Amino acid sequence: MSNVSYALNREDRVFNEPEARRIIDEIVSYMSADGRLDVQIESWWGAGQRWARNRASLTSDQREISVSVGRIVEQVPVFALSNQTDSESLKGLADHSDFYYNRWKSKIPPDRVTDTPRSNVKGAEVWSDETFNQSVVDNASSVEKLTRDSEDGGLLSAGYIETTGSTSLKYYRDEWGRETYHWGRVTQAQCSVTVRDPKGKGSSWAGNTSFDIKRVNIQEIAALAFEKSKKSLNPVRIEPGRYQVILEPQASATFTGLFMNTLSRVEPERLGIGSMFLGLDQSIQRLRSKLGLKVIDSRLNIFHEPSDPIYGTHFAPLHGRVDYVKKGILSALADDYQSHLNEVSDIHPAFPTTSYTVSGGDRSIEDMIASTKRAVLVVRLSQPELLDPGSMLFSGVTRDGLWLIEDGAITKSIRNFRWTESPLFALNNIEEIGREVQVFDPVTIRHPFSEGSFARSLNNVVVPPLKINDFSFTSTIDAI
Amino acid sequence: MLYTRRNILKKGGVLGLSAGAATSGIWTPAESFGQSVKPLFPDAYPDRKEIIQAAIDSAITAGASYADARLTHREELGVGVRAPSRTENMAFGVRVLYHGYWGFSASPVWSREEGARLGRAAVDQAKSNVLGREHVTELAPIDTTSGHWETPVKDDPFSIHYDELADFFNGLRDYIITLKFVSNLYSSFSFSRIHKAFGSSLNQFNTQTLYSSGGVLAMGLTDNKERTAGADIEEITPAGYGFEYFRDRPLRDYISIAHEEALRDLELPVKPIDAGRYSVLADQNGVGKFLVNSVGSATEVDRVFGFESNAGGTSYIDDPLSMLNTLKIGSPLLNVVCDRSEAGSVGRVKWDDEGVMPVKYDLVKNGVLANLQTTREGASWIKEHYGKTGQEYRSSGSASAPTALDVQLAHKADMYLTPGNTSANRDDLRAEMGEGIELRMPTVTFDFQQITGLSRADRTYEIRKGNRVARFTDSGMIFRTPELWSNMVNVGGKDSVKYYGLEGRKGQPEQLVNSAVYVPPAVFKEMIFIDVKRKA
Repeated sequence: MSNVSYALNREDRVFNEPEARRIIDEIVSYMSADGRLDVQIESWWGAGQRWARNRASLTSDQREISVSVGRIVEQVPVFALSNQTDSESLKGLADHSDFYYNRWKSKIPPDRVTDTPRSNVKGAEVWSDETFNQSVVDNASSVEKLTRDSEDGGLLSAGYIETTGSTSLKYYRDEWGRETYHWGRVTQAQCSVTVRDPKGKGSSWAGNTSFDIKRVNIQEIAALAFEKSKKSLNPVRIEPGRYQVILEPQASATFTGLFMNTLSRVEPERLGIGSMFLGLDQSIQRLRSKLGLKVIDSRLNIFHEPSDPIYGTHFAPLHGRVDYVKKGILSALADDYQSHLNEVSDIHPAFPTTSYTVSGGDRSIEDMIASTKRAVLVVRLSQPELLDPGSMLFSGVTRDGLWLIEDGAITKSIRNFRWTESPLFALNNIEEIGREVQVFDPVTIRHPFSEGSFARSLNNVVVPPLKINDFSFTSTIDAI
Repeated sequence: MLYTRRNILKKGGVLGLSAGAATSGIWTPAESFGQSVKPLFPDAYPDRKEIIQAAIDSAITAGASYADARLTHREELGVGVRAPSRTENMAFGVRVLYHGYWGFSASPVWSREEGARLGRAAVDQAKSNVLGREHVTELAPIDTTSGHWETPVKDDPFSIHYDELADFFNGLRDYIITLKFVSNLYSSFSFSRIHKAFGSSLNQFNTQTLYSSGGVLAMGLTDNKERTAGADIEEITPAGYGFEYFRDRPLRDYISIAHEEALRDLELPVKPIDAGRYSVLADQNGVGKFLVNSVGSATEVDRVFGFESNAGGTSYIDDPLSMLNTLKIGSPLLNVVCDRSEAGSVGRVKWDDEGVMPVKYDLVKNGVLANLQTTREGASWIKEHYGKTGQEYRSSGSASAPTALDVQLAHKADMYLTPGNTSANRDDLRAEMGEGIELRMPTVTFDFQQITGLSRADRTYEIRKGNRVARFTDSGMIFRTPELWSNMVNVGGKDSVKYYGLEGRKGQPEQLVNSAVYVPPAVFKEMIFIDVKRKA
């Protein structure tokens, strides 16, 4: 059996549009059933450079394909996914989908027939030839230099550089036979570096992601992690309690991400739950969300802009710019297309809350530190765990560097804390907002096993550092 | 008896509500039988040995000092109410050593030509690092065994008519919704089968077919006073069986026991906790989660040596060569054995993904760290330990990867917490504890060094005179790993040991691999409980 008709062993490494189109057309030609049909073919290439203990530990080149065929039966997707594109395998996918659709289609109540998402919005091309053509030798040279610097400085460096490119062609056919194709391609570069003291007395981290490798300065990231690690040595314990904090952009991204994850229309307006649920409107007997109400500091704006690759997009965006929060007022909730059919609202698909920009200030983090009497400087917030959905209360730990700021300067490295805080509370208790920057937020799960889509996981998060009053640290932890 | 929906429907009066509820939908079993799920891919493989050999030959010709190659064909079947979800994935991965540096190359293409390309590409990857310093990578010796092994299963779920599977699980669902006060139900059932082939430049070649079955089955109860309680069927957890895992077990009895426990919960008063120190009885699920994180993750050799520091984190075992055989992790009651050969375990294999036959070994003995979970390279990092203790210098067999698209990492082996010498079960431990707190099915999170943790459970009980007298809300137990295990004062007996399959994540890119724990319930003294919603 030769299991792939288009072997990805060529220079281009990913499918181009005509190749993907041919595969989709072949699948569709095997299908006898009418009705709504979603087919998607994606191809992915990634080059990774991993290192630890000041030496390269693995250099890798991986290629993968995903072919998915989906139908909706009784609101439940019938889903089949493979990574083979020979005719026999494509027919297997088509047969699987047809069989179960034909079995149940006559019993689908008419009011549950779904429409097909269509959009004329064109997202920015999130593609960089430099990223796609970054050589392994360039990455290895970078790692060689930065690990030498760590070694010379008596510290241990570990990290990961990855460049990826992926393409996707999505095909939709609705109940009335209308067909649409959406083509997209995406590159991503990521670099993250952890530098630790060999005896575990200090540690810090730096990282970034972008579609464009030129915007991910590997040596700068490594130098930042190195400098911070040196400053993190021998942390002292201070009492837990409420402190003013300056969340560096990476910590700010984790924290604002907790807020963004709640911006779904389904929970408040259909289920009557979650922190965006306002209550039952007796006059119209409808569950109401907090849309239109002030939910966070009035200096903050949060938006998603698919036309700018820096701000992030997805393949085939269904919408233009979405302003989730305008001057602190909740202005949009993420929605799915099916829900939209019964609502009069803009179309906001479920996923863009993973790509967003938070803006509202322009101060540098150095200025924010200089103007601070006493505060804790936080590099990262880790392992947030939801304690109370209604109040959006989370608990987690700090990680990779924590410092005390006194009288405008960093005075000492301090031990990590467990924090217990609500973004709803803290984002209404902001002292200062810095200038937004893109942060490290790469694709987390590449594998297409769970309705996978390489591009769906693509995140672009641009956030500012935040100075927040009365941030709650509930205990110290031992980990450094 | 099979608890299929057909059988339940035959019972008529007793389960009338079930029949009514289910047939209000569109399911009519009579019309559905006779069709099976067809494989997405053709079922005949090309000669896997030839393909693997092509990759190895290519890598060695290109200059590799060592090469291994893996082929995986992974199938997953999710059983929905009416239709299955199907995933199939084929992968081919080649890993090489060139002048002490690792290179890896992978793709979905199974062919000799692709093998030759991957072998060369992997060497090219590794070569890029030779620009830098000289490096020697030592691999622990290996017995070059070959052959074929399969998870022994009675009923291959991929050979059973899908409607038979769907009927069985719909029957379970229908049964649950007839139970008193059941207001919601969450269920998800899945099967996986992975065909693996491994070969290396050490003349190894083996093939394995590994099965696992699992899912989630949970119910929520709301009584007529709007009081709520929940119950998970904890016996359904990822395991190394076929469909018999469900068919041959008394699932309805498990459901009934869980339901009765939830009914009793409805009657208990709910109150906030007073922060302080308490004795705590943790059920097997809780002890398993404590163990797999605080001991399991912390003893993965790559984590210990800092190779995971930029991903999941490091370990409190930060000086392994001096800590092995000296670091006191817990009380003498803490004895942990690693093994990957137990029948029915989700982590069971004959060979790991480096072709090593895993061994059974003490990870923690009488509360003291005795070993690490190693790969062939990782074992070489603690070679001195093997020399000192007279143990055989070899990998423990912990190399795993979800598929051949992913490179091998040190993942957790199945772990066994040695039970006590008594016949005590959870009820006995509760009675013996007398006063304190009981945790059922808790969540557990650890920091990035596995040293401090937070455990919370929706089912946290106040225990007075050996009985559950109230449920606590918003309570959480915070602890340090050494204190947790040092404070373990009582463990259940052999018959109280339960099995759980648990998911483990690590690596960059992140990998998900299941492993198992076999654990008794245990009592811990003087543990700190807090009101988790209370801010500073």
